[in-house]
Amino acid sequence: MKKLISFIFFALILTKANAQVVVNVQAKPQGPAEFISSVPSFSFTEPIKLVVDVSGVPNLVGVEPIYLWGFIQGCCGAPTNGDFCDSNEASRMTKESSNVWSIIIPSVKSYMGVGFKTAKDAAIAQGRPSDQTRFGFLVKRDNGCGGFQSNDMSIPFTGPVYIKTEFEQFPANAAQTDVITLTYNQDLENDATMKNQTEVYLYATADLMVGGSIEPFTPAEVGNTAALKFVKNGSQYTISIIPDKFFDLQAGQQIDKINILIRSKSDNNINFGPTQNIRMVKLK
Amino acid sequence: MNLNKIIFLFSVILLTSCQKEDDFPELENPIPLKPNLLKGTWTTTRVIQFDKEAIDNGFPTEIQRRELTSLFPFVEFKIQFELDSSGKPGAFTVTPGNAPNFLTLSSGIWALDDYVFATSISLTDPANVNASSFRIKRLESNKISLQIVRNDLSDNTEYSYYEYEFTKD
Repeated sequence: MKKLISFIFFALILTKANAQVVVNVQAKPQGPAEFISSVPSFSFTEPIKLVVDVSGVPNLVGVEPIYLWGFIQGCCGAPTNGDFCDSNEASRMTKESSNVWSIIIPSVKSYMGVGFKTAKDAAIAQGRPSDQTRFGFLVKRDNGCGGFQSNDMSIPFTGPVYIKTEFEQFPANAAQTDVITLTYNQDLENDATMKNQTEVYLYATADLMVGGSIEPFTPAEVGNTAALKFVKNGSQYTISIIPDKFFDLQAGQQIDKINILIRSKSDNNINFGPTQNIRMVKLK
Repeated sequence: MNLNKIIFLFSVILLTSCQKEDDFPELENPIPLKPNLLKGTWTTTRVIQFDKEAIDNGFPTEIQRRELTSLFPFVEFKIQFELDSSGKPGAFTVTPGNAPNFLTLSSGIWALDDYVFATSISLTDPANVNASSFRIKRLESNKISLQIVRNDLSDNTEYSYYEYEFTKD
Protein backbone atom coordinates (compact mmCIF):
# COMPACT_ATOMS: atom_id res chain seq x y z
CA MET A 1 0.00 0.00 0.00
CA LYS A 2 1.50 3.19 -1.00
CA LYS A 3 0.54 6.64 -2.02
CA LEU A 4 2.42 8.78 -4.42
CA ILE A 5 1.85 12.41 -3.63
CA SER A 6 -0.07 14.13 -6.33
CA PHE A 7 0.83 17.76 -6.55
CA ILE A 8 -2.59 19.07 -7.24
CA PHE A 9 -1.21 22.59 -7.54
CA PHE A 10 0.84 21.51 -10.52
CA ALA A 11 -2.09 19.63 -12.01
CA LEU A 12 -4.31 22.66 -11.60
CA ILE A 13 -1.73 24.93 -13.16
CA LEU A 14 -1.31 22.58 -16.11
CA THR A 15 -5.06 22.21 -16.52
CA LYS A 16 -5.50 25.95 -16.41
CA ALA A 17 -2.66 26.41 -18.87
CA ASN A 18 -4.59 24.38 -21.37
CA ALA A 19 -7.88 26.11 -20.62
CA GLN A 20 -6.77 29.63 -21.29
CA VAL A 21 -9.29 32.43 -21.10
CA VAL A 22 -9.76 34.36 -24.35
CA VAL A 23 -10.36 38.08 -23.96
CA ASN A 24 -11.52 39.94 -27.08
CA VAL A 25 -11.40 43.73 -27.08
CA GLN A 26 -11.94 46.47 -29.63
CA ALA A 27 -9.28 49.16 -29.44
CA LYS A 28 -10.18 52.81 -29.91
CA PRO A 29 -8.09 55.78 -31.03
CA GLN A 30 -5.88 57.47 -28.47
CA GLY A 31 -8.16 59.35 -26.11
CA PRO A 32 -10.06 58.66 -22.91
CA ALA A 33 -9.11 55.50 -21.02
CA GLU A 34 -11.69 52.76 -21.19
CA PHE A 35 -12.54 50.16 -18.55
CA ILE A 36 -13.88 47.05 -20.28
CA SER A 37 -15.87 45.07 -17.74
CA SER A 38 -17.61 42.73 -20.16
CA VAL A 39 -14.81 40.20 -20.44
CA PRO A 40 -14.66 36.58 -19.22
CA SER A 41 -13.59 36.29 -15.60
CA PHE A 42 -9.96 35.33 -14.98
CA SER A 43 -7.70 35.34 -11.97
CA PHE A 44 -4.34 36.92 -11.24
CA THR A 45 -2.57 33.62 -11.83
CA GLU A 46 -4.54 32.39 -14.84
CA PRO A 47 -3.29 32.49 -18.44
CA ILE A 48 -5.21 34.62 -20.90
CA LYS A 49 -5.14 35.14 -24.63
CA LEU A 50 -5.68 38.81 -25.29
CA VAL A 51 -7.12 39.47 -28.77
CA VAL A 52 -7.21 43.10 -29.88
CA ASP A 53 -8.97 44.46 -32.96
CA VAL A 54 -7.27 47.68 -34.10
CA SER A 55 -9.51 48.33 -37.10
CA GLY A 56 -10.99 51.29 -35.24
CA VAL A 57 -7.62 52.96 -34.68
CA PRO A 58 -6.64 54.85 -37.88
CA ASN A 59 -2.98 55.17 -36.82
CA LEU A 60 -2.69 51.38 -36.41
CA VAL A 61 -4.80 50.13 -39.31
CA GLY A 62 -2.53 48.15 -41.61
CA VAL A 63 0.48 48.56 -39.30
CA GLU A 64 2.52 45.39 -38.74
CA PRO A 65 3.52 44.20 -36.28
CA ILE A 66 1.58 45.47 -33.29
CA TYR A 67 2.96 45.47 -29.74
CA LEU A 68 1.33 45.31 -26.33
CA TRP A 69 2.12 47.87 -23.66
CA GLY A 70 1.02 46.51 -20.28
CA PHE A 71 0.61 48.27 -16.96
CA ILE A 72 -1.21 48.31 -13.68
CA GLN A 73 -2.39 51.83 -13.04
CA GLY A 74 -0.86 53.27 -9.91
CA CYS A 75 1.72 50.52 -9.78
CA CYS A 76 3.95 49.79 -12.66
CA GLY A 77 4.57 48.93 -16.26
CA ALA A 78 5.23 45.44 -17.58
CA PRO A 79 8.95 44.57 -17.47
CA THR A 80 8.78 43.51 -21.14
CA ASN A 81 7.36 46.83 -22.40
CA GLY A 82 10.67 48.27 -23.53
CA ASP A 83 10.81 51.89 -24.64
CA PHE A 84 7.63 53.51 -25.92
CA CYS A 85 9.54 54.60 -29.05
CA ASP A 86 11.08 51.11 -29.40
CA SER A 87 9.05 48.23 -27.98
CA ASN A 88 10.63 45.11 -26.61
CA GLU A 89 10.21 42.12 -28.93
CA ALA A 90 8.82 40.12 -25.99
CA SER A 91 5.66 42.22 -26.22
CA ARG A 92 5.19 41.66 -29.96
CA MET A 93 1.73 40.35 -30.79
CA THR A 94 0.68 37.65 -33.23
CA LYS A 95 -1.43 38.47 -36.25
CA GLU A 96 -4.75 36.65 -36.10
CA SER A 97 -6.29 38.26 -39.18
CA SER A 98 -6.34 41.67 -40.84
CA ASN A 99 -6.02 44.27 -38.03
CA VAL A 100 -6.59 41.67 -35.31
CA TRP A 101 -3.66 40.86 -33.03
CA SER A 102 -3.23 38.55 -30.07
CA ILE A 103 -0.77 37.78 -27.30
CA ILE A 104 -0.64 35.05 -24.66
CA ILE A 105 -0.19 36.36 -21.14
CA PRO A 106 0.86 33.44 -18.90
CA SER A 107 -0.69 35.33 -16.00
CA VAL A 108 -0.98 38.93 -14.92
CA LYS A 109 1.30 37.96 -12.04
CA SER A 110 4.14 36.75 -14.25
CA TYR A 111 3.61 39.34 -16.99
CA MET A 112 3.69 42.24 -14.55
CA GLY A 113 6.22 40.66 -12.21
CA VAL A 114 4.39 41.72 -9.06
CA GLY A 115 2.55 39.98 -6.25
CA PHE A 116 -1.18 40.26 -5.80
CA LYS A 117 -0.79 42.54 -2.81
CA THR A 118 0.96 45.10 -4.99
CA ALA A 119 -1.85 44.98 -7.52
CA LYS A 120 -4.43 45.21 -4.76
CA ASP A 121 -2.67 48.14 -3.09
CA ALA A 122 -2.66 49.96 -6.42
CA ALA A 123 -6.37 49.27 -6.81
CA ILE A 124 -7.06 50.57 -3.31
CA ALA A 125 -5.05 53.71 -4.08
CA GLN A 126 -7.21 54.26 -7.16
CA GLY A 127 -10.29 54.26 -4.97
CA ARG A 128 -12.24 51.89 -7.19
CA PRO A 129 -15.49 50.20 -6.14
CA SER A 130 -14.61 47.08 -4.16
CA ASP A 131 -10.94 47.90 -4.80
CA GLN A 132 -11.23 46.06 -8.10
CA THR A 133 -7.90 44.92 -9.52
CA ARG A 134 -7.37 45.68 -13.20
CA PHE A 135 -4.83 44.90 -15.90
CA GLY A 136 -4.17 47.93 -18.07
CA PHE A 137 -2.80 47.96 -21.59
CA LEU A 138 -2.70 49.67 -24.93
CA VAL A 139 -1.51 48.46 -28.29
CA LYS A 140 0.98 50.34 -30.42
CA ARG A 141 3.39 50.41 -33.28
CA ASP A 142 6.96 49.34 -32.51
CA ASN A 143 7.75 53.05 -32.32
CA GLY A 144 4.62 54.28 -30.60
CA CYS A 145 5.85 57.83 -30.19
CA GLY A 146 3.88 60.42 -32.10
CA GLY A 147 0.48 58.94 -31.35
CA PHE A 148 0.83 55.54 -33.02
CA GLN A 149 -1.09 53.85 -30.27
CA SER A 150 -4.57 52.97 -29.10
CA ASN A 151 -6.39 54.32 -26.09
CA ASP A 152 -5.61 52.99 -22.61
CA MET A 153 -7.78 49.99 -21.82
CA SER A 154 -8.17 47.97 -18.64
CA ILE A 155 -9.86 44.68 -17.79
CA PRO A 156 -10.69 43.28 -14.34
CA PHE A 157 -9.05 40.26 -12.78
CA THR A 158 -9.75 38.43 -9.55
CA GLY A 159 -7.29 37.47 -6.84
CA PRO A 160 -5.80 34.02 -6.41
CA VAL A 161 -7.98 31.73 -4.36
CA TYR A 162 -6.61 29.32 -1.78
CA ILE A 163 -7.69 25.77 -2.54
CA LYS A 164 -6.95 23.13 0.06
CA THR A 165 -5.20 20.16 -1.51
CA GLU A 166 -4.22 16.69 -0.37
CA PHE A 167 -0.56 17.64 -0.19
CA GLU A 168 0.71 21.09 0.69
CA GLN A 169 4.14 22.63 1.00
CA PHE A 170 4.90 25.53 3.34
CA PRO A 171 6.25 27.96 2.41
CA ALA A 172 5.31 27.79 -1.26
CA ASN A 173 8.93 28.56 -2.11
CA ALA A 174 11.86 27.46 0.01
CA ALA A 175 15.61 27.07 -0.12
CA GLN A 176 17.47 24.02 1.11
CA THR A 177 18.40 25.80 4.33
CA ASP A 178 14.78 26.72 5.11
CA VAL A 179 12.28 24.93 7.28
CA ILE A 180 9.81 23.22 4.97
CA THR A 181 6.58 21.89 6.40
CA LEU A 182 4.76 19.20 4.46
CA THR A 183 1.07 18.69 5.11
CA TYR A 184 -0.98 15.66 4.18
CA ASN A 185 -4.73 16.33 4.30
CA GLN A 186 -6.10 12.84 4.70
CA ASP A 187 -9.69 14.03 4.37
CA LEU A 188 -8.97 14.67 0.69
CA GLU A 189 -7.46 11.23 0.17
CA ASN A 190 -9.02 9.07 -2.53
CA ASP A 191 -7.04 5.88 -1.90
CA ALA A 192 -9.10 3.70 0.45
CA THR A 193 -6.08 2.13 2.12
CA MET A 194 -4.27 5.38 2.78
CA LYS A 195 -7.48 7.00 3.98
CA ASN A 196 -7.59 4.51 6.87
CA GLN A 197 -3.99 4.91 8.00
CA THR A 198 -3.47 6.39 11.44
CA GLU A 199 0.28 6.68 10.98
CA VAL A 200 1.93 8.08 7.88
CA TYR A 201 5.63 8.38 7.13
CA LEU A 202 7.88 10.39 4.86
CA TYR A 203 10.19 8.82 2.31
CA ALA A 204 12.36 11.38 0.53
CA THR A 205 15.30 11.56 -1.84
CA ALA A 206 17.14 14.62 -3.10
CA ASP A 207 18.46 15.04 -6.64
CA LEU A 208 21.61 17.13 -6.69
CA MET A 209 22.46 19.89 -9.17
CA VAL A 210 25.66 18.11 -10.12
CA GLY A 211 23.82 14.85 -10.67
CA GLY A 212 23.24 11.89 -8.42
CA SER A 213 20.83 11.67 -5.53
CA ILE A 214 20.78 11.21 -1.78
CA GLU A 215 18.58 8.73 0.04
CA PRO A 216 19.00 9.37 3.78
CA PHE A 217 16.66 6.56 4.77
CA THR A 218 16.01 3.40 2.78
CA PRO A 219 12.40 2.28 2.27
CA ALA A 220 12.97 -0.46 4.83
CA GLU A 221 14.10 2.07 7.45
CA VAL A 222 11.32 4.61 6.96
CA GLY A 223 8.55 2.90 8.91
CA ASN A 224 10.90 2.29 11.83
CA THR A 225 12.24 5.84 12.07
CA ALA A 226 10.30 8.06 14.46
CA ALA A 227 11.71 11.25 12.94
CA LEU A 228 9.97 10.41 9.66
CA LYS A 229 6.53 10.02 11.20
CA PHE A 230 4.07 12.80 10.45
CA VAL A 231 2.41 14.53 13.41
CA LYS A 232 -1.32 13.85 13.39
CA ASN A 233 -3.83 16.57 14.14
CA GLY A 234 -7.27 15.29 13.23
CA SER A 235 -7.20 14.43 9.54
CA GLN A 236 -4.18 16.65 8.98
CA TYR A 237 -0.64 15.27 9.18
CA THR A 238 2.45 17.47 9.16
CA ILE A 239 6.20 17.09 9.23
CA SER A 240 8.86 19.79 9.11
CA ILE A 241 12.34 19.32 7.68
CA ILE A 242 15.36 21.41 6.84
CA PRO A 243 16.66 19.79 3.64
CA ASP A 244 20.25 20.83 4.35
CA LYS A 245 20.21 18.79 7.56
CA PHE A 246 17.71 16.12 6.53
CA PHE A 247 19.89 15.07 3.60
CA ASP A 248 23.11 15.79 5.49
CA LEU A 249 24.47 17.91 2.65
CA GLN A 250 28.15 18.62 2.40
CA ALA A 251 29.48 22.14 1.83
CA GLY A 252 28.69 23.30 -1.69
CA GLN A 253 26.12 20.61 -2.46
CA GLN A 254 23.00 22.06 -4.03
CA ILE A 255 19.66 20.31 -4.26
CA ASP A 256 17.93 20.42 -7.62
CA LYS A 257 14.69 18.85 -6.45
CA ILE A 258 13.30 16.74 -3.66
CA ASN A 259 11.16 13.72 -4.40
CA ILE A 260 8.80 12.72 -1.69
CA LEU A 261 6.37 9.97 -0.91
CA ILE A 262 3.86 9.82 1.89
CA ARG A 263 3.36 6.22 2.86
CA SER A 264 2.08 3.89 5.51
CA LYS A 265 4.32 2.43 8.18
CA SER A 266 4.68 -0.96 6.52
CA ASP A 267 4.87 -0.31 2.80
CA ASN A 268 8.41 -0.50 1.45
CA ASN A 269 7.50 -0.56 -2.20
CA ILE A 270 8.41 2.84 -3.59
CA ASN A 271 7.76 4.28 -7.03
CA PHE A 272 8.16 7.85 -8.13
CA GLY A 273 6.24 9.66 -10.80
CA PRO A 274 7.94 12.36 -12.85
CA THR A 275 6.61 15.46 -11.13
CA GLN A 276 6.54 14.71 -7.41
CA ASN A 277 8.93 17.22 -5.98
CA ILE A 278 9.20 20.08 -3.59
CA ARG A 279 9.59 23.46 -5.22
CA MET A 280 13.00 24.83 -4.35
CA VAL A 281 14.59 28.22 -4.79
CA LYS A 282 18.16 29.31 -4.30
CA LEU A 283 18.69 31.62 -1.41
CA LYS A 284 20.24 34.96 -2.20
CA MET B 1 -9.32 65.56 44.69
CA ASN B 2 -7.09 68.26 46.13
CA LEU B 3 -4.33 70.10 44.27
CA ASN B 4 -1.50 68.02 45.82
CA LYS B 5 -3.06 64.79 44.60
CA ILE B 6 -3.54 66.21 41.11
CA ILE B 7 0.10 67.38 40.99
CA PHE B 8 1.26 63.98 42.27
CA LEU B 9 -0.75 62.07 39.65
CA PHE B 10 0.40 64.42 36.90
CA SER B 11 4.03 63.87 37.97
CA VAL B 12 3.62 60.09 37.93
CA ILE B 13 2.10 60.16 34.45
CA LEU B 14 4.83 62.49 33.20
CA LEU B 15 7.58 60.35 34.72
CA THR B 16 6.12 57.15 33.32
CA SER B 17 5.78 58.56 29.83
CA CYS B 18 9.34 59.94 29.92
CA GLN B 19 10.69 56.55 30.99
CA LYS B 20 8.83 54.83 28.19
CA GLU B 21 10.18 57.32 25.66
CA ASP B 22 13.77 56.87 26.78
CA ASP B 23 13.97 53.16 27.41
CA PHE B 24 11.17 51.40 25.61
CA PRO B 25 10.26 52.92 22.26
CA GLU B 26 6.74 52.63 20.98
CA LEU B 27 5.75 49.67 18.83
CA GLU B 28 6.11 51.50 15.60
CA ASN B 29 8.16 51.12 12.54
CA PRO B 30 10.43 52.99 12.00
CA ILE B 31 11.61 52.74 15.57
CA PRO B 32 13.65 55.28 17.51
CA LEU B 33 16.07 52.55 18.51
CA LYS B 34 19.18 53.51 20.40
CA PRO B 35 22.13 51.10 20.35
CA ASN B 36 22.13 50.94 24.11
CA LEU B 37 18.70 49.33 24.07
CA LEU B 38 20.09 46.37 22.17
CA LYS B 39 23.16 45.89 24.31
CA GLY B 40 23.11 42.54 26.07
CA THR B 41 22.19 38.94 25.44
CA TRP B 42 18.85 38.05 23.92
CA THR B 43 17.24 34.61 24.03
CA THR B 44 14.65 33.37 21.56
CA THR B 45 11.19 32.81 22.98
CA ARG B 46 9.21 32.37 19.78
CA VAL B 47 9.79 31.81 16.05
CA ILE B 48 7.13 32.07 13.36
CA GLN B 49 7.74 31.45 9.68
CA PHE B 50 5.78 33.47 7.11
CA ASP B 51 5.04 32.67 3.47
CA LYS B 52 5.26 35.93 1.55
CA GLU B 53 3.39 34.55 -1.44
CA ALA B 54 0.46 33.47 0.73
CA ILE B 55 0.45 36.89 2.41
CA ASP B 56 0.52 38.70 -0.93
CA ASN B 57 -2.25 36.47 -2.22
CA GLY B 58 -4.40 37.28 0.78
CA PHE B 59 -4.76 33.62 1.74
CA PRO B 60 -6.16 32.67 5.19
CA THR B 61 -3.91 33.45 8.16
CA GLU B 62 -3.21 29.79 8.89
CA ILE B 63 -1.86 29.45 5.35
CA GLN B 64 0.33 32.53 5.72
CA ARG B 65 2.25 31.49 8.85
CA ARG B 66 3.60 28.53 10.82
CA GLU B 67 4.66 28.45 14.44
CA LEU B 68 8.10 26.83 14.60
CA THR B 69 9.06 27.39 18.23
CA SER B 70 8.51 23.84 19.43
CA LEU B 71 9.53 22.09 16.22
CA PHE B 72 13.21 22.86 16.64
CA PRO B 73 15.17 23.87 19.77
CA PHE B 74 14.89 27.58 19.01
CA VAL B 75 14.86 28.48 22.71
CA GLU B 76 18.59 27.66 22.70
CA PHE B 77 19.22 30.38 20.12
CA LYS B 78 20.86 33.47 21.65
CA ILE B 79 22.42 36.60 20.25
CA GLN B 80 24.61 39.06 22.11
CA PHE B 81 24.98 42.67 21.00
CA GLU B 82 27.92 44.62 22.41
CA LEU B 83 28.84 48.29 22.19
CA ASP B 84 32.27 49.68 21.42
CA SER B 85 34.11 52.00 23.77
CA SER B 86 32.26 55.02 22.40
CA GLY B 87 28.84 53.47 22.95
CA LYS B 88 28.24 52.66 19.31
CA PRO B 89 27.31 49.23 17.93
CA GLY B 90 30.23 46.83 18.18
CA ALA B 91 30.56 43.08 18.13
CA PHE B 92 27.79 40.51 18.06
CA THR B 93 27.87 36.81 18.83
CA VAL B 94 25.29 34.21 17.90
CA THR B 95 25.00 31.12 20.06
CA PRO B 96 22.53 28.90 18.22
CA GLY B 97 22.78 25.86 20.47
CA ASN B 98 21.03 23.09 18.54
CA ALA B 99 18.69 25.51 16.79
CA PRO B 100 19.00 26.30 13.08
CA ASN B 101 20.91 29.51 12.40
CA PHE B 102 19.24 31.27 9.50
CA LEU B 103 21.66 34.17 9.83
CA THR B 104 24.45 32.09 8.24
CA LEU B 105 27.11 33.80 10.35
CA SER B 106 27.78 33.62 14.04
CA SER B 107 29.94 36.60 14.94
CA GLY B 108 31.12 39.94 13.66
CA ILE B 109 30.05 43.57 13.76
CA TRP B 110 26.51 44.92 13.94
CA ALA B 111 25.11 48.28 12.88
CA LEU B 112 21.81 50.09 12.60
CA ASP B 113 20.66 51.48 9.27
CA ASP B 114 19.58 54.70 10.95
CA TYR B 115 20.40 55.97 14.40
CA VAL B 116 17.24 58.02 14.70
CA PHE B 117 14.68 55.68 13.15
CA ALA B 118 16.17 52.25 12.66
CA THR B 119 14.43 49.69 10.48
CA SER B 120 17.15 47.06 10.29
CA ILE B 121 20.20 45.67 12.02
CA SER B 122 22.99 44.67 9.68
CA LEU B 123 25.42 41.93 10.64
CA THR B 124 28.82 41.53 9.02
CA ASP B 125 31.43 38.91 9.72
CA PRO B 126 34.94 39.95 10.85
CA ALA B 127 36.40 39.41 7.37
CA ASN B 128 33.62 41.54 5.89
CA VAL B 129 32.79 38.76 3.43
CA ASN B 130 29.42 37.50 4.64
CA ALA B 131 26.56 39.67 5.71
CA SER B 132 23.10 39.17 7.07
CA SER B 133 20.49 41.33 8.68
CA PHE B 134 17.45 41.57 10.86
CA ARG B 135 14.42 43.61 9.90
CA ILE B 136 13.14 45.29 13.05
CA LYS B 137 9.50 44.54 13.69
CA ARG B 138 8.78 45.54 17.23
CA LEU B 139 10.49 46.66 20.40
CA GLU B 140 8.92 46.73 23.82
CA SER B 141 10.35 46.65 27.30
CA ASN B 142 12.87 43.80 27.34
CA LYS B 143 11.45 42.14 24.24
CA ILE B 144 12.26 42.64 20.61
CA SER B 145 10.85 41.09 17.45
CA LEU B 146 13.24 40.75 14.54
CA GLN B 147 12.69 39.26 11.12
CA ILE B 148 15.16 37.34 9.00
CA VAL B 149 14.12 37.86 5.40
CA ARG B 150 14.68 35.24 2.70
CA ASN B 151 15.15 36.40 -0.87
CA ASP B 152 15.15 34.30 -4.02
CA LEU B 153 18.48 34.51 -5.79
CA SER B 154 16.90 34.33 -9.25
CA ASP B 155 14.85 37.51 -9.01
CA ASN B 156 15.80 38.93 -5.61
CA THR B 157 12.21 38.83 -4.41
CA GLU B 158 11.27 38.13 -0.83
CA TYR B 159 9.59 34.74 -0.61
CA SER B 160 9.56 34.11 3.13
CA TYR B 161 10.68 35.44 6.48
CA TYR B 162 11.22 34.19 10.02
CA GLU B 163 10.04 36.34 12.86
CA TYR B 164 11.97 35.90 16.10
CA GLU B 165 10.77 37.14 19.43
CA PHE B 166 13.71 37.69 21.78
CA THR B 167 13.74 38.41 25.50
CA LYS B 168 16.69 40.10 27.14
CA ASP B 169 18.53 37.91 29.64
